[in-house]
Amino acid sequence: MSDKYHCSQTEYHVPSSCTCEDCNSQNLSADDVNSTDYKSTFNFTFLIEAAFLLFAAGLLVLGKGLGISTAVNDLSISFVAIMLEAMPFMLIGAVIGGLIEVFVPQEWVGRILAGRTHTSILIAAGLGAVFPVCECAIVPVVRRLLHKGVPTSAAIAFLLGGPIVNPVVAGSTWLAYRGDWSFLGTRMVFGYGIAVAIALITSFLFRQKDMLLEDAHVPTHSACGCGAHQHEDDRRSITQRLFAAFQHACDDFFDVGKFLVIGAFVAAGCRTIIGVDVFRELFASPGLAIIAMMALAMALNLCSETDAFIAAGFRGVLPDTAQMAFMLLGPMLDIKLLLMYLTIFRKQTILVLSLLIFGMVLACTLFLQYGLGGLPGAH
Amino acid sequence: MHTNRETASFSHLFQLIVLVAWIAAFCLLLQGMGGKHLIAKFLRPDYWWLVEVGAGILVVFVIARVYCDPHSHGNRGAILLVQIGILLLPLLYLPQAVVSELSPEAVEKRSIDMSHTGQSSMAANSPKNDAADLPNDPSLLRLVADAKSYEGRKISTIGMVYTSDKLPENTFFCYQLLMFCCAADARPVGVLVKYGESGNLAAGSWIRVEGILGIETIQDKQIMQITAERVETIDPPKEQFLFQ
Repeated sequence: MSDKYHCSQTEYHVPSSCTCEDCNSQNLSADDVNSTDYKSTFNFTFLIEAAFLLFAAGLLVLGKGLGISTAVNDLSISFVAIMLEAMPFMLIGAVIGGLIEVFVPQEWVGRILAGRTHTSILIAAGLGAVFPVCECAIVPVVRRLLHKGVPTSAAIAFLLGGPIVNPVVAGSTWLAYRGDWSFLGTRMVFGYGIAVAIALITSFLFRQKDMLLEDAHVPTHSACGCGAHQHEDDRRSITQRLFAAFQHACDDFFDVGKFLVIGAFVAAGCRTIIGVDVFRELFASPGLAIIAMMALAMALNLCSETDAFIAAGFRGVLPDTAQMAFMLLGPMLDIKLLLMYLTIFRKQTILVLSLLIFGMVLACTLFLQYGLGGLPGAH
Repeated sequence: MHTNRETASFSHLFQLIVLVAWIAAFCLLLQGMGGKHLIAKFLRPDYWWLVEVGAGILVVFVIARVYCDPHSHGNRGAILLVQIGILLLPLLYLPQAVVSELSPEAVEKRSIDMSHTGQSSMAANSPKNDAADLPNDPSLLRLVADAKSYEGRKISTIGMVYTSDKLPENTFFCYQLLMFCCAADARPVGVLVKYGESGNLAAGSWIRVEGILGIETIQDKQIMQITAERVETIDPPKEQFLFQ
């Protein structure tokens, strides 16, 4: 394998290892990597990861001695099951991200999305129809799009809208609600609308560079930072480009996969500890039911391609709007996603985004409940 | 002092270990053992292809990593160990998950009101179908979906035993877990069974119940209840989950 096609940069890389002058001119400088904000986020993330690993491994080893072996058994079943369900989606997303990186020309991305902020937001929020990735996979794809020069606001629109406005999620929602178009239609329309609204708001609130981590907004010819992949594009065979795409995908798997593991573990823990009966008293009031289901969506960390089946399990027990709040919020904001967002955004951006998402979903579902009297056309 | 190349090689080696371990786990789960697939415990059968696709992608990743020149700077030291440790964590939990069963406490937590009413709303809302088309040994899912149609009929069904002080005297809940996507979202579906020797049944054991299905009103709720004529303990069935 030629050095031209090497690739193994990760989020903590120091790109000066690439010997090509052109690469180095477009990559992070040592000052960028050593900046206080970068180091602070890096330390914070590393501490979370290390603490989590110690806790999770300790629980497995010491569970019996602590007298909670039954709970650890239940947790292990849910944890492994969630991982087995989510990981293939995440791998597929990483591959799609890698293919975008290598095969989608930067000029094409620029022509479609870059430059015109408002138009690009409107397009990006519906881009899931073309790139159907679930929330487990969306972060690697968005990272690649950012490196391709997509404006941050458009990337946010895709990040929030992509896991909802896509054919796979539409299919699962339609199946879960047995062909009830009101649920499918409301989810698609409000998912798209909320994504567009939040992207527009953030574009007014922040400058593009202020939202992202240092290495997320640097447009390179290649997201791995080396830039080598594009130098010989015209001369490279399809096989070589595919190979490069899989190397990018593999990097993304290692960068983002750990957050999927942490999220799956937290979700399994919530399932083990919290019984749905806890919410019983809250369910008498639609407003409280909506908030409770939003909290549940954040805690359970479900994949957007499967969450409709869980929401539908509450049909007849909870208001339709509470189920809708669950299906709108989960793909945009949950514990797993919050951790994954740390690989793209600054903490301040994540905080503002979280508040906006939560507030917007709450406002929309309360409007549906109290303004329209429920989902339009629901039976 | 490590050179960049040494660090990258080290990082690649650990990454290869992670990839190979996951491939081995996927292959092991997809293998049939004694007529059973281990993965059946975690995922519904029509999602198994996803794991096959995942395994395939990981194999390609391994090839990409093996042929990738470890030229660049990789993670090292504690960062590398933590990253690798987290990615291997699900595999550490895997053996425990394979040999464990969901506890009765976990089953109860997954039901809105299992210990009080069973599937009352489904029973009340189910349509009435032509009795001639109905099998006499329905699954619990079929029974719940067609409760009105089965009312007053003698049926035979299988499930697991759940007992609780909150249930009426001489009754137990006969349930099976309904899996939507994976074991994490499985929730119990079943009926109350009135049986004089309920106290002798072991919680979590598999049983076959024969009796007459009725729809009773308890605490202002319509509840499906089998008045059992016979309850026998059976071996766990090959397919332990219900699927919708």
